[in-house]
Amino acid sequence: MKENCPSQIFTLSELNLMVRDTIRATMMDTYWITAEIGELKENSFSHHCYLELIEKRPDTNQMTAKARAVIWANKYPFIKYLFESRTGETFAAGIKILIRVSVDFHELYGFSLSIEEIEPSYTIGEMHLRKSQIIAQLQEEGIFSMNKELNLPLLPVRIAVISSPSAAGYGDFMSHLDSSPWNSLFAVKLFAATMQGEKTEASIIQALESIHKNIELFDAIVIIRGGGATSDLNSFDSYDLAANCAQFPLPILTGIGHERDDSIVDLVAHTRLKTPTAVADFLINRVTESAQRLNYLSQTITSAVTDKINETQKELQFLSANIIRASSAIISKQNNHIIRTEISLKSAITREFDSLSFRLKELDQFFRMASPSYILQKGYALVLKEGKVIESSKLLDREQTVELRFSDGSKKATIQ
Amino acid sequence: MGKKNELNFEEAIGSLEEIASNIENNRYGIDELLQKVKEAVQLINACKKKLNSTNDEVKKILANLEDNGE
Repeated sequence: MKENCPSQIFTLSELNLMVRDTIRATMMDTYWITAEIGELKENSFSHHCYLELIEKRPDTNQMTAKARAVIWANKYPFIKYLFESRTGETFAAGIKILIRVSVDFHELYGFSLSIEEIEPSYTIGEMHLRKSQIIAQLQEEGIFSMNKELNLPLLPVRIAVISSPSAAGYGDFMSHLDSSPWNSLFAVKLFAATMQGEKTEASIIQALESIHKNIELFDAIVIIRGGGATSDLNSFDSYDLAANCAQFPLPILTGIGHERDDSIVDLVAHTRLKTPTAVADFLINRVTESAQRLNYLSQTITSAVTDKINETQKELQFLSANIIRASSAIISKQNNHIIRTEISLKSAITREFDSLSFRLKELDQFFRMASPSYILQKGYALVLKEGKVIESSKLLDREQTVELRFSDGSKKATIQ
Repeated sequence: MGKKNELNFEEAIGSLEEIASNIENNRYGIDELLQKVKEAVQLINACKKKLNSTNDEVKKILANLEDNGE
């Protein structure tokens, strides 16, 4: 048991210095490593940035490594700016990074890494990977396109807005609606939520729950975030928030206002728009289109009815013309018959009349010639005795007085 | 949504589209046509009224919601 009898004893500092020397002697100047930021603090006096780097098992999320790290104030602003401008993300806890570090060991402060350089493309790749994993999960669960499949009403005018009341974007949204021709139609209710930082996710989910309690009062949900920094969109890439949005029974319109790729909330939303103003325009256009559709239908029906009435009128005209043509044919046929009958009747009557008048003339002549006055005029005379015509000489004796009647008068005569 | 006797804009537009297509495709006799035109005019007027409304009642309800909400 030699170890129990120390042959050489060191102080802690001696040991720590040995460790430090060993490290300095054996380690390279710098290494490229990947790690996740567990914690991050900026010292407001020194402007150094102190971090806790961690590594987790991807399957169980159990922590497998941890180390303190620092970005010195001379490098920190540059590293932060480079990272945020390239990734669109805030340089903050929860992000996976690829960094070049130097390893140091201080006898008093212990093991620490000093961050010299950062490679943002790794984080971008990680974010894409994480995003595509979440998207795949949402798709696998069959909820990814649920909100997209909802029908947005033709008049989406009762709007639940999830936003920060102080956000410029909310003001832009409201003033845009107010200046639209449909301003009196829109009824907007704000559900205030934190739109930046760690609380964003929980805060928006809570707002969704509040809306859900009065879901029948709304046509659509608008999630807008205004005008501020383009970074800090991590919350909108979270599985929980995306799953809540995707499964929400009202159509969700987003105007989260950022330049980089769509967040997952954008992807699952019914309609993704870039800015709050664009969301307002979208709603206004939807109402305008519906009004135009109504006008178009009204015109279509009017002209279709007019056409139909004209058509029916033409049909009627055609029918009545047909009737007139057919009946006038019948009438003219009848007319001809009448005219023909009339002519033949006339000529028959004329014939009959002529023959009658001829006979009348004959009769007239006969009667005229047979009349006593006509005969007397021809030189004959009538012999009358006591007013009676004497037709035989034997009826007369001598010395008898008779009357001789001529056409122009009478004379007495005595028979001898 | 809303009150039950209130006009549903979606349904009204749907009915109008059906009527328009039926008229255009000559599916109505003249008597039925008159009936449908009457119906269409009523729907169009109701939709126009809705478009020109102020939605004051809804706004009132939503304002009250704020009081209960917090």
